[in-house]
Amino acid sequence: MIRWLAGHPRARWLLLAGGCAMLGLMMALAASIGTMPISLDTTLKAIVNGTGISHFDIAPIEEGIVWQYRMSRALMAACAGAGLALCGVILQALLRNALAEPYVLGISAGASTGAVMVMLLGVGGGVLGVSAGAFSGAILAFTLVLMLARGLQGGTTRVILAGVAGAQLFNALTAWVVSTSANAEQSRSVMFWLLGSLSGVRWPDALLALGTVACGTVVVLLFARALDAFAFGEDSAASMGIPVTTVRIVLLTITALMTAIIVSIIGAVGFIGLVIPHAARFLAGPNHLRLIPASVVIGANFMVLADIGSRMLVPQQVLPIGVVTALVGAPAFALILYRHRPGP
Amino acid sequence: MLSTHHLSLKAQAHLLLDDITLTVNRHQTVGLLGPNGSGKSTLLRCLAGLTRPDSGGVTMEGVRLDTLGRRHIAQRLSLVEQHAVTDVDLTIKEVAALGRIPHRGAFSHWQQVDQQALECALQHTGLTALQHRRWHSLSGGERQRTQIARALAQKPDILLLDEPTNHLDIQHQLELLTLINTLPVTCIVSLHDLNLAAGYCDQLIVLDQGQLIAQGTPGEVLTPELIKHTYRVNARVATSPAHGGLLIDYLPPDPVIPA
Repeated sequence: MIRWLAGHPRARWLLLAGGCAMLGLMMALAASIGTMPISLDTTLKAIVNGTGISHFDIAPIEEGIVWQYRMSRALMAACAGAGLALCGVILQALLRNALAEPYVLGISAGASTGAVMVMLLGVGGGVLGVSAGAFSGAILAFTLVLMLARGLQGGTTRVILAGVAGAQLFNALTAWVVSTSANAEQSRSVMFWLLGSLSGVRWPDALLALGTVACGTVVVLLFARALDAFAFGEDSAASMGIPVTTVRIVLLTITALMTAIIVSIIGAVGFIGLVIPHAARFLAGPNHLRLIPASVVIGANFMVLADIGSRMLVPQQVLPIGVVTALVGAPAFALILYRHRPGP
Repeated sequence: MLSTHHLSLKAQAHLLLDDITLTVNRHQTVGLLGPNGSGKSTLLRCLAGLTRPDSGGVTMEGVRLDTLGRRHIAQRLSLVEQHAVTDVDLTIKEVAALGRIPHRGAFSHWQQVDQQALECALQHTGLTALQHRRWHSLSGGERQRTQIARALAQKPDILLLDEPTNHLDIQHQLELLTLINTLPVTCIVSLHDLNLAAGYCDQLIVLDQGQLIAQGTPGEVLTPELIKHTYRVNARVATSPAHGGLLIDYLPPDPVIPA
């Protein structure tokens, strides 16, 4: 049904608007659920107060919880979902690999390592922020994985194998730095960096992510046709007039940047970048001008839903967000791997 | 139309292309011949502007290729590669529509001119009825035709094809070359089969170890001496009693005389 609708130009805009409306509703829902349940009515009023559009009389404590704690968290979830899904779309198109995404390729792990190096070891002497550290780590990990993949010639799975090696290495480094650091307890745990967590997200974090992902989406949309041209590889893209090297550098840098910002705020959350683009492709088809908005909207919705799930699945406990995404993502990864196995 | 001047390309100490000067005229079908590793694909990549030569250059209608932008080149020249592989689930129509990319802006709508170019390309390649078939369900010949449709949708003046008859059975080889011959563009096509080259090309270019060995009509180029020299095969070149064209018979190798 949705797939059929997606084939019609006007219905496409309607679907996109529907997806955005659903995202708004999900975020409101996420803001009303928690250890202190707040009615949806009060939640909506608190959100209206927070954005400064109008003013309703509600209890300040409820307004504070909804706006200061839960809305920033919901917005961060939406941005992370959208950003990671977008990274997945870019990587799958440029590397021509159905399994490519920041977590599988070790970019998230590299960003974690960079972030903890700055945060706990003081690398950069205070000049380098946590985001900049994460960005350097992400670029380093990415370069390393691509170089290793080039060395391991043969088969499209080699990038994934290189990614697995890179992820293990950088996760070990992160775990080492966090475990041996004296003030690790005061900051964030190993669990945070390896599985991700949305707790403790505040407005400045969420707004930084929003800005990065919004800019990233616009730039990637500009390159949507170029990504289409990569369907048959780099040479084919070049012969259709695409400046291949420029496109690769720009888009891979954006991927590293978005991953770094997201990881430095919520840790390494896996499989979003893998599952969402495939789901979006199923609905919107392979054309990137449609696939990119679809992935962004579905990714944002999915992540907010996953956050609600992480707080509802086990009563009185909050699961790390990465646990929820991996529960959905790992079987999807296996399924895609199975479908892409070499034919008889 | 398209010419090269003293084109040379090195990889490490090895000369891939050695001082190649040639000219291709408008609306001809030019066959590019030579043994494996003689530099056919490398020459095609240089002609397409994908590889920059170390010295010398390629000119298209008197303009040097390296002064033109990639997109400009792609609007006038298209390349069909030897192996086209993709994981993306595309239909024939979608693959052919990729050829419009060099003519479209980042967000421009699909216009009348795009639709005409696409329909024309599908019609020339006989794919109009099959346009909704998926790439993964196509046979080798259909994939090759789809790639040619994509290249034609670029509305090129010059079409470069790298061993398009590879892995095709004889019926599809003949169909493909007939198709190439009827296209209203200048074609440069690399081939292995000398009889097919003789039958379908107006001009032939022969490469061996990166050097240009011969250029001319099939009758001028395909001599027993040249075949012996480049392919190290004995051959007899005759006129076919059936179609009046050239016919190349391969002969057994010279007996090795024991010393």
